[in-house]
Amino acid sequence: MDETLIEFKDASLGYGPKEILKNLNFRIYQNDFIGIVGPNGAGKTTLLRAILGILKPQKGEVIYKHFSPDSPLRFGYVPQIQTIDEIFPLSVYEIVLMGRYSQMGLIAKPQRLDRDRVFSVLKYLGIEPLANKSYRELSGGLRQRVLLARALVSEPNILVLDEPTNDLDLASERITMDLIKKLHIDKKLTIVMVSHLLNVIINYVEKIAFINSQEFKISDIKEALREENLSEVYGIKIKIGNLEGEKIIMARPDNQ
Amino acid sequence: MNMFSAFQIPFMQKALVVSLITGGFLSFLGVYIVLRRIVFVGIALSQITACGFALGFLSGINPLLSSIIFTLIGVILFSVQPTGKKVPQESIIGLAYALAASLGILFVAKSAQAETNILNLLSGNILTVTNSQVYTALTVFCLVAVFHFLFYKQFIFVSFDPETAATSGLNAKLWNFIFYLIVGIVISTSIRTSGVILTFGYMVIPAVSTLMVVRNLKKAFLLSVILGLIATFSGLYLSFVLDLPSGPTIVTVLCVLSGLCWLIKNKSPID
Repeated sequence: MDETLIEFKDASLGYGPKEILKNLNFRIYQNDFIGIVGPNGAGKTTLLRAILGILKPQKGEVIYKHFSPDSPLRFGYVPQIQTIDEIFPLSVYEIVLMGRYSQMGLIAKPQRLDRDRVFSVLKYLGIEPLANKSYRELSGGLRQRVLLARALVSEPNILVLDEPTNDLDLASERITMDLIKKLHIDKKLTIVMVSHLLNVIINYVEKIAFINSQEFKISDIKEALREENLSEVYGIKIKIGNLEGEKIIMARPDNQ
Repeated sequence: MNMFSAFQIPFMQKALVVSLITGGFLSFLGVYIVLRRIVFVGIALSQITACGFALGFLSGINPLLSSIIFTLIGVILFSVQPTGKKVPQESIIGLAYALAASLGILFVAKSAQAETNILNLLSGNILTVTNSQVYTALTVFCLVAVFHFLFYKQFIFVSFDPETAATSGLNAKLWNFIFYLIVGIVISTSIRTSGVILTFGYMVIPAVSTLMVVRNLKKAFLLSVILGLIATFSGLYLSFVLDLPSGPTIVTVLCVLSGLCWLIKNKSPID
């Protein structure tokens, strides 16, 4: 049986008195690959923050697996690239090294192990030659890979990505998604990603969680990808097609 | 009088020591302040500190104590962001600045002694620093510098990407509060000797100048401190030989250095 990493038990999420998601009951299992989708403003980022433990539930509880008393669940987090302020004159190496900070002592400086780990991840992601380059001089796709590298150097149990293909061109979008899938297969990494671009993620994820008007439903990708399900979630007629073995989703007005 | 002779005079020596320490550390801290886009937190905290001093002079409470209490309130206000995301942080900074400036004026309006002291706080009077002010500045800035050196990782991560820092197990809110607390302590120590104008100048101008020409953060810290020290040394000397107020002269020299950085920013960036 799959091992539970995170369990939401009757959890309600929101900010202040405002409740955004009610009575969530679901589990994230080891080796899951989950896409959280839904219209803009539905509460995807709120759920993501609760998964990461930086937003406490208003009601109910979120239970995290502890591998041992001293070893809590470790997250690798990839924020939206727009939230990173490029004014900071930091190199790729310096940014990726931040992913190791939680495993260094309070006042310890980076050791050889930390540096080796950074370079091995940079090599795995194909950006080792960029180690000394300034982050702000990179393209969107390469910046995304740098943030992915920072998440990976912490040797996470679960990788959480917030809109990883936002602001990327078509080629970078494809490369990024292929890379995330590769991580899931090669490293058996549990992955949770938020996206408002259903078309981008349906051919990659294994489970989909839909959020809409305080409703939450998580299911296997095959079950979720039914036209009637999607039409109900998005409030518009949805058609699912196939193109060269990949699924594509089209929204259609009612009269078509 | 040449530079060597000028700095043989005891009051000039004390002024040089205190302004080199203050200028050096504020120029370092300024890099964080400019990068975090909270430049006006500096001027607002300076004004809040001055307001605390004014209340102290008026009420008979120890002015240093009242200024520290006021600064702490400002630190909490800016680090906690009580209005959440509904109102931008700049508006809270603006509100705090306007309130502190107004209250400061109201406090001094009722006290002749306070008026003189507050004018000194605004313009600064490095040439009249006492031995105890020199020792206080030396102790505070050395302690804070060591703290920053030891916890560089935490400060840089929380400044650059607080959300990811929080997900990695770092208490981002606590480190953010500590950062603002240090800014508050440094400002309240600095404006007693350097005044509001010079304190703000040190906090902003060297960092802005440096970030125009440097593409490496550690070098940015170093160059910012060097610019702060050069401006202090030359500004203090110029103010002495030209018989000008020291604080505004140092700020003017900082601006000249900033202009030089702007001229070379595209020609020779420092990697």
